Amino acid sequence: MSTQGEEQMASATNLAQNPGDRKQPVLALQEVTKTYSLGRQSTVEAVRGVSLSVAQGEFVMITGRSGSGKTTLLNLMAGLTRPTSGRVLFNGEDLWGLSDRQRSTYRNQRVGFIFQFPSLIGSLTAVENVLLPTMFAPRDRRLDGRPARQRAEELLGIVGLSDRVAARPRQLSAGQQKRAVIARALMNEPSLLLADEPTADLDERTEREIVAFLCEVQQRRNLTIVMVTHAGELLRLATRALEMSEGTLSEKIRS
Amino acid sequence: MKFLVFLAAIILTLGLLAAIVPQFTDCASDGKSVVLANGKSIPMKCHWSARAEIAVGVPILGIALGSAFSRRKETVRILSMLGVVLGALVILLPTTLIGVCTTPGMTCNTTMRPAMIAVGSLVIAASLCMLAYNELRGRAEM
Amino acid sequence: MSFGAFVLRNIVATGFRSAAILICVALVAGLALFTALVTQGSEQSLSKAKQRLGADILVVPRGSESRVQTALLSGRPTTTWMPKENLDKIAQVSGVQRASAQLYLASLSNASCCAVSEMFLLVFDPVTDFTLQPWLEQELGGPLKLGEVVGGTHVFVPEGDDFIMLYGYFLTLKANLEATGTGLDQTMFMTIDTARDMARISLSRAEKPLEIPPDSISAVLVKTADSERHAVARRIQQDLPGVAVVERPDLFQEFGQRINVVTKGFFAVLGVSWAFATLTIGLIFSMSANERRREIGVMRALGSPRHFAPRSLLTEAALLTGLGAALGLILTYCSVLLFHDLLASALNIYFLLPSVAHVGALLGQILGLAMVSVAISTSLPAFWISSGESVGAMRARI
Repeated sequence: MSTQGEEQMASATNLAQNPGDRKQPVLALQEVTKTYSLGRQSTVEAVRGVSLSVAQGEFVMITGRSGSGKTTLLNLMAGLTRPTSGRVLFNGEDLWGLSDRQRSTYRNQRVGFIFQFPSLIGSLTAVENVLLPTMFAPRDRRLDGRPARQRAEELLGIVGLSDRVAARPRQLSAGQQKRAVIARALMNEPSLLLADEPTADLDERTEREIVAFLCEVQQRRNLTIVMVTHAGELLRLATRALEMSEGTLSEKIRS
Repeated sequence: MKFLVFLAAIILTLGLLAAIVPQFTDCASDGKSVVLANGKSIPMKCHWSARAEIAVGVPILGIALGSAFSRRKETVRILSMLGVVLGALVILLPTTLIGVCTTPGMTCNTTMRPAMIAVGSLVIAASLCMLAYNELRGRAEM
Repeated sequence: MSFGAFVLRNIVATGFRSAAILICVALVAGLALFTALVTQGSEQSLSKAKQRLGADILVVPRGSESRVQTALLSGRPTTTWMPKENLDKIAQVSGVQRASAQLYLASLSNASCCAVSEMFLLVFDPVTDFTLQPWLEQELGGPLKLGEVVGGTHVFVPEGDDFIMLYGYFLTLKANLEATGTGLDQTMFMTIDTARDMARISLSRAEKPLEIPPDSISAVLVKTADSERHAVARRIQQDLPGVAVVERPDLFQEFGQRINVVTKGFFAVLGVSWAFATLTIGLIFSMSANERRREIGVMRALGSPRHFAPRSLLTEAALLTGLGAALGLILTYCSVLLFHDLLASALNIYFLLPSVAHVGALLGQILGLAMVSVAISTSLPAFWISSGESVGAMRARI
């Protein structure tokens, strides 16, 4: 993924500078606020009155300082945490009007999540980790047995881990683990990919490769990506760049 | 590999038990013997079972050591099969092949015979585990 | 991958902890079965011994009641004598339905002439006997002939011989009685005629002759109506001050009390072990649930339903408990089966092994109890991981 990765990065940059027409929002946040209680009469507003529309096929990057509420925002988008006020809509449907089971199905079938922290399950091999989302898929949409395994191995091959399918997470480097997580996030063919600092703790070269891969996947599958990052130099690859500051979201002016 | 050594250690212990325990639990160790019409004392048949167990226990030790140190799968397979056979012999000697005294309260009946049945069963079980593990290991490496 | 494979992976991944739970459950389940087998087996043994004697009241010389009962239970012979006329006096007591005399003899110990040693010989009168005779009629189709005997389950003809030789006299073993788990299994039963014939022959053939005091008996067995038993016992005691009267419920009381002490001890240890094991397993799974909070949060993000995590925890607990309990139960039952005689002599109590069907029921009960206990102890950590937000779980620092 080295020189080819660099070529892909260049092509992705080109696309980012020409976002194209705005399409129908696939994800919409309407005046969303999230407040955490820290104890007696002490609260913190992680997200304050955020409104955001993300169209299908957009690559949105969000930057901001630590503690600005970026991860909370992603968790709200994934339906992992309930907003204190406001609505989170996916394809026009309020996530918190659904049952817990329906929200689980939404996360399983529609969303791919890439975590900031190492999130592979230690007791499973790389391919078993990639297969994990299939275990939670609804019966009528579940990919089982050999087809599932083939797809998982294909995905690991795409991310450059075809020779590491039977390795356990402790046997993989940080970069390899991240790639396995990306493969897992794509297993159920989601329409929305949420990535929380996917290149944190990685060296520059691996960072470039990961981001180039994400761009390639986004183009090929018309995937909607919302990515949180600290790395300002990656903003040029996004169709839209936003900045999170003390719980509020604003457009990022790119130089 | 570690599991194989673990099983071999178990079989080694069982082999020692098979050889040693009967020496202290036959009627001769209780001071009992058969007195013939001419006044001569001869050991009861449990004594001969105990002796025979030495002849079975020692090869079991050999099997354990061989399995622990051998790298060849074929060797471990053969040794495991031998272990099953010897485990069966440990059981058969005090029950069918030679036997022990008939009186229920005697030490050979209350202790030696059941102990050898237990030890023999465990040798068979451990040998079968070793055989199965050896086969699975071979398939995984293919 | 399947749910079952996922649970098995978790069990294997925490190998040491899983093995600890397995062993803990195996030990406690094994102890429970052992306690049940000994308790129920000794009660059954005692009941069968009383049935074998068959009497509502046992009358023996005063001062020998404890010794006689111990001899009957242990199979180690004792001799005791009282005048034969006591039989007639007892038979005439109001409320006595039937009375039959017995003689207690012993075989020679370690004699070269004899194939067996230290055997308890119980001599009965076939004319008045009401305990063995019914069984003899049923099993053998008639009374014992001269020179014929029946024995407890452990009495046997030596290999290669056709007879049992006692005091130089050849006895034919006609049948073996059902096991009682007590010394009655090593007891030989013969008629008075056979005993007297043996005594006569022993004068010339035995190393030491068999002596049966003339006009003496060892014990009288009495049959009464249940409602009158106590009254009859008092009357016998009043009429014959030189005897000791033991009623059926009080038979083998010393042994019964010893069983109580031993079984109470076992139950106490079992209770403490069970409670300790349940708490420990609950604690282990709480620790496990806490360690896996982040993992559970990740799985929620991947689309697992809320019940997945508690379900996998409870399934792990159930699998480990089921396997551990099964292992403990099977090993304990095999050990008790193999080492039954050794255990009985080590614990100094007699116990029969229950039937296979009864043991099967016991195994099921103990397994069920183990599963319920572990389910209860694991329910708290399971509930805990199912509640709370996934986000908080993912923030968990390990």
